[in-house]
Amino acid sequence: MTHECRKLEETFLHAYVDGEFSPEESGEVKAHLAECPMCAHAVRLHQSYKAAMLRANATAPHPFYDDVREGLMHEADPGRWARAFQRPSAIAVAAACAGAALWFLAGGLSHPIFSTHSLIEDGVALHARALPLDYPSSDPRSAQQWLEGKLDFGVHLPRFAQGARLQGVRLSNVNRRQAAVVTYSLPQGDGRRVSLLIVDDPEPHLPGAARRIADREVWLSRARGFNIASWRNDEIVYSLISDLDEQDVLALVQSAEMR
Amino acid sequence: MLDFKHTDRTRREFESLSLDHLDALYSAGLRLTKNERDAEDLVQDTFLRAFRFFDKFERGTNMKAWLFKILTNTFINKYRRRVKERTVVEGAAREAGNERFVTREPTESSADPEQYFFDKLLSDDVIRSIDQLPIDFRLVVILADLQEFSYKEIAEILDCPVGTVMSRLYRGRKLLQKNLLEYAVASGVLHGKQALELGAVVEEEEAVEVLEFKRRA
Repeated sequence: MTHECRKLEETFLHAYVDGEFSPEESGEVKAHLAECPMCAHAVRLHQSYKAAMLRANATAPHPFYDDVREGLMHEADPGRWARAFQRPSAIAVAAACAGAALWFLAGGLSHPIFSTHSLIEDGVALHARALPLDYPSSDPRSAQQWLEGKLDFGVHLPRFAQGARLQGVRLSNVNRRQAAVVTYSLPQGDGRRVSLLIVDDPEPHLPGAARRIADREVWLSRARGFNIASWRNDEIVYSLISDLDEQDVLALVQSAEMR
Repeated sequence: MLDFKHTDRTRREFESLSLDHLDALYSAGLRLTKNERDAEDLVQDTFLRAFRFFDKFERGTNMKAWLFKILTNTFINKYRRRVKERTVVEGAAREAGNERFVTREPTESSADPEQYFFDKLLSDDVIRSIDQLPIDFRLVVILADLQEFSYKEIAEILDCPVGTVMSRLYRGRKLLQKNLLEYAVASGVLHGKQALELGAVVEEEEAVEVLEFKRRA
């Protein structure tokens, strides 16, 4: 309990708990601990800290194991390109692609519906996975405040008149761009979940068919059984993703107050 | 075809050595990038890189440490710029509060080992506190306290002297515990009075240094 003992403290005792000492050295420390309640306390405190840290470890989602294996499999396959072009079917596919490219260059399509829009792909995936919220909150103002400074762009969390309650927000990425996923629950059913994906997407075309709702250009599309309604506000794209009927989605969008 | 068989066998060997560490890499990746998506990208990248350089791996040496070296290098080179540090804004606002760290003074409330402050903590609070650390501290704390690497292994992973590891670890833990204390009080796990008992005023000098570091980070 002397001043000297205090100095010996932390880093030394931490190193002891961290398992940095040889058995002999540890024996000496143990002998000291038996006599010094202050050091013994410090050791127990550090042990409880370490245990709390270990408890905070996460495990990888199960499908991710398969993703990694698949990635390795692909990487390990040395002749993946060479072989692909030895197969007659591949040549046919390549020829068809070249033909399609020519047709497209000649103006075969008025808008690029065939480009898999990552906004939809990623948005639906994010909605379907229902990952935990970074910031659970039912107060749009505090959630918006939380988001500020974490995103490169400003956001407005809309208020929905239809009784959709804010659950919270999480940060994510869409196509390597920062995004926020806002989760709402609806009164109908047992709290059906609606996700609002907010992303600064420079892609000029929003996916789907355009509709005019409440002075807003809204684009409707469907993917993997979900309905998606997207619109822009201050250049930022807002995409509402849910398993609601198109009618209900439109009603919800109509009730959205962006201020 | 022969070549393919060879690569396939190498892949199997690589998988048998590396996949056991996927959870650990993901857990660390999550605390480095702070979101699942980037963590998955980072870990996927790490596995592909490690596989490409598998012939450089000395069989029989520490695979986990080797993979973590690749993980941290990949993170620093590629993701660090992308994942905006969120500590600065939040940290600055918190700096106004009490500068209190956990000390080793025995207190009434902690006389019983069951009652140790850290035992009562929620993992969410622990995670938030880790996420708030400036990156250099966070790296060392993740490697030492989540992954239980030795100081020497961490020094090798981060390519820095053991002394640097120890000082960063010490300061990182202090900062983290300060955050934890605040969360514990905010979430009611700990009463303000207990927190005061546990806390000790940090010397002015140290507080300034920490602020300085946060500003740079």
